[in-house]
Amino acid sequence: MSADVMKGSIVKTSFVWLLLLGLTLLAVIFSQMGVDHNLLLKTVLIITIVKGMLVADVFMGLNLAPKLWYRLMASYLCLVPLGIFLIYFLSAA
Amino acid sequence: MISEEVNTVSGNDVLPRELPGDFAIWIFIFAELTVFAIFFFCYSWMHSHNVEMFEAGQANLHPEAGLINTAALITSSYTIALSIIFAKQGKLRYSQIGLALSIFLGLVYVFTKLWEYQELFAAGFNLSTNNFYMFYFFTTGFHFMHVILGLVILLIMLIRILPVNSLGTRSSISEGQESELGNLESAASYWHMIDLLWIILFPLVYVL
Repeated sequence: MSADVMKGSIVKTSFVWLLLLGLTLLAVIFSQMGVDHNLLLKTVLIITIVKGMLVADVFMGLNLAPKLWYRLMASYLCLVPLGIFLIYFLSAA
Repeated sequence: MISEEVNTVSGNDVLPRELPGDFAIWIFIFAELTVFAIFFFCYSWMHSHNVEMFEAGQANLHPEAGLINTAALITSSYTIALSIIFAKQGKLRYSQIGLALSIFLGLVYVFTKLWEYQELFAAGFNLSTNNFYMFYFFTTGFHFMHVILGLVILLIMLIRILPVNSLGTRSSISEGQESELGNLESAASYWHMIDLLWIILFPLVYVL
């Protein structure tokens, strides 16, 4: 890893860290606003997917891993929140 | 390590597609993720069928503790990611500092969680109070045990790399050193998994 690539990696990782903290705060603030539960559910789960993908991509480094492993993790991070959404949605229907 | 194809990062740096850490740790990580997915679905199903009970239970939790724990785990994931970057560059001192910071932040999570458990127990809530507390203590307690295991692994890694002067770079690394870098990546991957699980667990328990 050259010095330039390392510097780029540090900047990218630091940006993602701040983004993750910001998204966490956003989800909490949104939940305090008293919005409709269905809208809250969608928003919070989308934020969860984005946060999970950022951790897997940048922190775990799966964007540089064999594609099978990247796809497995991406599937998990999308399917679990989707499953949670469907459980709440179908129960409310 | 599993390699696949070559991936150009910049003009001069060409990296093979490699799974960070050992293959076995990834099998373990996906097994753990699957178990937790079942817990998440069970919790959601119980919540959606016992809305009043779960909302009353959530009102007794401490969201500020959840927020502190989220920030601690995300930041510890960040510092261990930096630790790996520095280790690959051969800057072992910075790598050790990153690892030590991750352990410290993991301890922040542990003590905050213990404080929250103590507050709930003092208020008379426990596993047998109702379904909400049963799920709350079980899922967060199971995650808590993973954090403890992760901290032990990180501590072992820190003790192993403390006496070493350099892990070198991938091109110049000796066989023993590469194995140590691989171990560090495995430990970091496990720690990131703990963070990922909390990223899903936090909104489920405190926000929704």
